Amino acid sequence: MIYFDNAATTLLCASAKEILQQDFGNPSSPHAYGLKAERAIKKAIKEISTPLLCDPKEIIFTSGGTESNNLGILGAAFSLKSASNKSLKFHILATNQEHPSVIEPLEYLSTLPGYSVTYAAPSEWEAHICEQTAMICMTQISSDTGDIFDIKELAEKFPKAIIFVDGSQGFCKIKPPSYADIYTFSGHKVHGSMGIGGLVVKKGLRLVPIMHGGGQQRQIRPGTENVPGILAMSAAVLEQYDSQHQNYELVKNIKGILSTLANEISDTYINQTTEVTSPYILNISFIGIKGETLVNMLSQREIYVSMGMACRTAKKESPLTSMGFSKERAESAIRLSFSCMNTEKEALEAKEVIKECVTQLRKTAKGR
Amino acid sequence: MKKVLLIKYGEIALRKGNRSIFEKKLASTIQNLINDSNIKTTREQGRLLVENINGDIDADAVIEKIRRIFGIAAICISYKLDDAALSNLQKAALMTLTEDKTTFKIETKRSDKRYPMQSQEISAAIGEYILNQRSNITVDVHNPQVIVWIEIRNYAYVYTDIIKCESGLPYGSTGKGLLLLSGGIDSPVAGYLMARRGMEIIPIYFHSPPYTSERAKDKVIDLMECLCRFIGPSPLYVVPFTETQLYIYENMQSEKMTLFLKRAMFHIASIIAEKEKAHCLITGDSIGQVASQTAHSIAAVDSASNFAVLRPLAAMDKQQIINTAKQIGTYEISILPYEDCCTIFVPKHPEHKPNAKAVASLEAKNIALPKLFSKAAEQIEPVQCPSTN
Repeated sequence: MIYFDNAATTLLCASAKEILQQDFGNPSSPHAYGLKAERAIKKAIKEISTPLLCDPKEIIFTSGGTESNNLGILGAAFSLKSASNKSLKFHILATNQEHPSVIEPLEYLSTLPGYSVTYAAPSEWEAHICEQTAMICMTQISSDTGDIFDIKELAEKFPKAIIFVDGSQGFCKIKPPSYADIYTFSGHKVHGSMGIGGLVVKKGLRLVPIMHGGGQQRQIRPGTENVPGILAMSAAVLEQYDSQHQNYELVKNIKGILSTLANEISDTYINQTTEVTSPYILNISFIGIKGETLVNMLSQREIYVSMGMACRTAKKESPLTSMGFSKERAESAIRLSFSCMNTEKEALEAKEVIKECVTQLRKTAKGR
Repeated sequence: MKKVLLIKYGEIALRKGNRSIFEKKLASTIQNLINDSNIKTTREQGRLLVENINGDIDADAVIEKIRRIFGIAAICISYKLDDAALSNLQKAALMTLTEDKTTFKIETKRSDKRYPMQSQEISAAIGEYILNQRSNITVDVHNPQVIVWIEIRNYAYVYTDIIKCESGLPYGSTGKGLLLLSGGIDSPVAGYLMARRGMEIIPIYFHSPPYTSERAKDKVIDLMECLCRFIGPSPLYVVPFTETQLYIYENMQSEKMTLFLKRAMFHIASIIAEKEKAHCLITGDSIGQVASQTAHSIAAVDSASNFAVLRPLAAMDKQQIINTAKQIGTYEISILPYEDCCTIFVPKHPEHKPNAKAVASLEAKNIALPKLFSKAAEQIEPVQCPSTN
C-alpha cells in the first residue's frame, strides 16, 4: 500500500508501538508503581518541550486536537470575561481555513453575550481588526491545502490580543510561531497514537477549565493522564525532531514529484492560497472528474488519499469553494498528504497510477 | 391467574377461508423470534395467546422481541383466568386498576356464548363490584381514564394495557418480491411497506466501484440491518454494475441515460427474480419526484421486466416518506452523503416525457447488453444481514 493520507492520521512509529504494549500505573497513585508512571510523564514533558519551544510547565495534555482546540479557545475566552468587567465586548478574528474543532467552539462562543467572531483570510485582517479584538485564531498549516499562515507583523501590532494557533498539521514539521500564546498539537498526526494531544499555554495566561474532576494537570485538564499515549507521542516526536530537516527535504521531493502532474496532465491545478505551502500536503484538482471517484479508484489500487480533511467528510459544503475556488475545481480535488515514512519510489509509482486513473476516468467523463 | 400476552391481529381476522393459514404463519413467526421453549404460542378464538408454561410471562422482554412482527395489530398485557367465574373476573378487574385512577369503564367481549351472562351484564356486575370496593373512583362511559377489558374465550382474560403494533400481514404470507435498494431515503421505506403487507423481501443493491464507494455499500448494509428488525435475518445481494454502467455511458444516448440504467437494473433484477422464484420487483419510485419517476418514464422502464413492478410509494409525498423512514430508523442512515449509483451518471438534461417504445428499441440495438446483464446477475455477492462484523 501507498499511504498518502497523513494529514488525516499517520502510521505509528516503531518506538511508539513498543510503548503502547506496556502496562503503566496511575501517576496519581501513592505507591512506587504509580510514581514510576509520574516520573515517566515528567520526563516526556521535558522532552516534548524542546520541539514545542516552551517551558515544560506550559504543557497540558488532552485527548487530542479537538479537545485541545476547545480547551484553548473556550478556556481563554471564558477567562477574558471572568478577569474583566462583565459587560465588555470581545471580538475574535479567525482565518477562513480553520478546522471544525476551531470553528465550532467559536460558533458556540458567538451565541453567548459579549462575544463576536469574524472569519477572513489573514490578508484581509487589517480591515476587521479593532480595539475590541481580544483573540486571534490561526491554523498554522491548513489541513485542506497545506497553506502556511504567518501573522508575525500583525501579532506585534496587537500585543494585547491572545494569539491562538492550531498546530495540528504544523507540529514537528515547522517551528511553532514564537508569538503564539496558545499552541495546540495532536499525537496521531506525528506518528503517535490516537486519543492523545495537548496544548501549550504561555505563562501568565489563565484558562478556565471546561472539564471538572480530580486535580490533575493543575486542575485545568483533570482526569488520569493517558500515560502510554503521552510516552508514545513523546517518543515519536523525539524521533522526528532529530530528523526534522531531513524529513522536510524528503517530503518536499515527494510533493515536487507529484506536483508535476499539474504540468503533465491538462486541466490539472494545484490548490493553494498562500505563496508558501507545506510540503506535507498537496491539494490538486483534475477538472472534469469527481474527486471521490478518483479516491475510490486509487483505493482499489491500494493508494490511499482523500478528498480533504477527514473530519469534514460528513458535511456537504466544500472548503475549497469557501476559499474562492470554482465548484468544478472543488469537486475534482483530491488531497495527498505525506510523512517521513513515505519514499520517492512511492511518489513515482503513485504518480503513474494517478495519471492512468485520471486518463481512464476522463474518458468516461467526456462531455460532462 | 397468570400474566400472559394476548395478541390481536386485525386484518387477518377478516379472512375467511385461509384465516388459519395466516394464523399459523403468525404464530410460528412469534414462536421463532421469542426462541424460548418455556414460552408457547397458541391460537385462542380470534387471538393468539403467548404464555410462559411455568408462570407469569416477562412481558417487557417478550414484547421487545415481537412488537415489530407484521400482522400483529396490538399486544395486550393480560391476566389469564382458568376459571371464568364472575367473582374471579371481579377480583382480577380490581387488581388491574391502579389507585391513581379516578374514572373507569368496563368493556366485555364474550366469544364463548355458553357463558351464562351476556356481555353487558358482565360489565355491569364487575363495575358495581369495583364501585363497592373503591370509594375514590367513578364510572365514566364516554371519557374514562382507563378501560378494563374482559374477554371470555376458551379462558377468560382481563387487561388494561394495549400496545399498538405494526398491523399488516404476516411476513412471507403474500409472496416474494425483489427489492431494488439504493441507499437513498425511498427504497428502504418501499421495502418496509411491502414487507408489512406480508411480502417476503429479497433486497438487491447495484454496486459500481469506483463510482460508488465501499462506504456506500456499507450504508446499504446498515439500512438492511434496520429492515432486518422487522423481517428477520436476510441476505443482501450486491450486483456488480460498473461494467454495464460504463457500457451504457459510453455507447448510448445521454439524455436517456437514467432510463437506460434503470432498464438495465430491471433486466438484471428480473434474471435474479427468476432464479429466486420471486413474484415481482419492488422499487421506491414516487411519481413526479425526479425525471425518471414521471408516468412516462415509468412506462419506458417497465417493459424491461417480465415481472410486475410494485411501487408502494407511488402516491406518497416526500414528507410522508421521510416520516416513515424516520419511524423505521432508516432516515439517519439514508442521508449520509455517499454517492449511490443513481447520482453520478445523471444527464444534464434528462428527458421528462420519453417515448416508451423509442427507448426500448434504442436499447435493443445494443446487442452486447444481454450478455452484460446475465454476467452481472451471475456475479452477485450475497452479504448476510445483519452483518456479524
